[in-house]
Amino acid sequence: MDTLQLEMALLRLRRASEATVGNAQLVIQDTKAIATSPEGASASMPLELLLGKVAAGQMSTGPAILPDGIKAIVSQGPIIIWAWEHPPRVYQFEWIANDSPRAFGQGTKYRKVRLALPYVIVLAVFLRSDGGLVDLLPKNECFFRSAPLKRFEDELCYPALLNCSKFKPPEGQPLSWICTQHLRPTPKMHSSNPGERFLAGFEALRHCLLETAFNYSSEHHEGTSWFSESRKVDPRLKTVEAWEQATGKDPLFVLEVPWLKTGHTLRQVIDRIFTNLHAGKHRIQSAAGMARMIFNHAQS
Amino acid sequence: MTERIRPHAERGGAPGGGAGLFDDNQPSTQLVSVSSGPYLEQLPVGNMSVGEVRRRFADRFDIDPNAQAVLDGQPVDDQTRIGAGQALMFTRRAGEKG
Repeated sequence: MDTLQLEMALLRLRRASEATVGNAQLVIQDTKAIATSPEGASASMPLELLLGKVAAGQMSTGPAILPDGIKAIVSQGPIIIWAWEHPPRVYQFEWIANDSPRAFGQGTKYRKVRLALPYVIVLAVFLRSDGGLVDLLPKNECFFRSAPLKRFEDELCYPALLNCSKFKPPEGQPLSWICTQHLRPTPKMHSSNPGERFLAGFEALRHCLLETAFNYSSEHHEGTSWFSESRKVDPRLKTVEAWEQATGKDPLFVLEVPWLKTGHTLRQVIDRIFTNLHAGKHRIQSAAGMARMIFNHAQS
Repeated sequence: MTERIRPHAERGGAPGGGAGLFDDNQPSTQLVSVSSGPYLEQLPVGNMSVGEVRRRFADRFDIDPNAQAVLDGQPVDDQTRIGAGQALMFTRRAGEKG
């Protein structure tokens, strides 16, 4: 847009804000919004379109100061997804030992492992209540990439991590579910401050993924983990010992591994989460939907 | 009053106070990737000890006093000197998944 076009756009914006219809009447009837001017002129448009226009382009981080690494925030209905990316680095994990007497739970034996990971992508899924507060849902997903996210059309790969579950069949389930069965809610996750709740929920999830011990619970409960599924893609991932050895030689090898492709872009995975959680059904499309919102507000 | 703009040559680098990408003499050789919880920053703490970083950034990064320092994936104590270009993480190990 050149300078003249920009000036014209600003002028249109100013005129639009000055143009008022005195004592206009707005009636919402079923799926239509009908406006009538004092002179009797009438016009209508679909309610969903009107609400979309009212909310259009409102880019905002909401009540939260975002933590480092948040690349995108997308919402639909009451569902809000934070897409977080952590750059390649070497981690020290607690990993189930080969001689552990148990696959998971009490009595499981762990050992420390030093593993390089590529770009780690976490999709943290929140639910906003009618009162405006948010809660982390147990529907969060993790992925790998060999390059940083630049577009919503970038493909995600499966993470070669234990406790990132593969569901069989995958329909209606997360593609790479982060096991949060033992995630302990922190006091700040129940704060009355919505921003604090976002941050606390995200931090609890990040801690659960990267700082609690890895075991074979996904293999037992959900079918398998993406670590078990990824062992065939590269000899350096065949065992955790091979992974440690490859990390010691060159931690950047993780940027060359042909991680298992999901066949889904970031956008598609996000849309899949919205679909699984029926987020679209909460969109207001009719007078009844608006009425429900007003009644809920009055009761809260 | 006529606004006077400071000559470009006198300005101190990029907006926000940080050095510009193409500025000379930036101490990039001392930068270390420091992370704790959701915080991740490149900081000029090369050649400092882990304990110094822990003390100086405890409040800013909400570093748990019991957090284990991990340097390039190796657990280290507070006396360890950090080299430029290394990655220092403060982690709180607790519990298990599943």
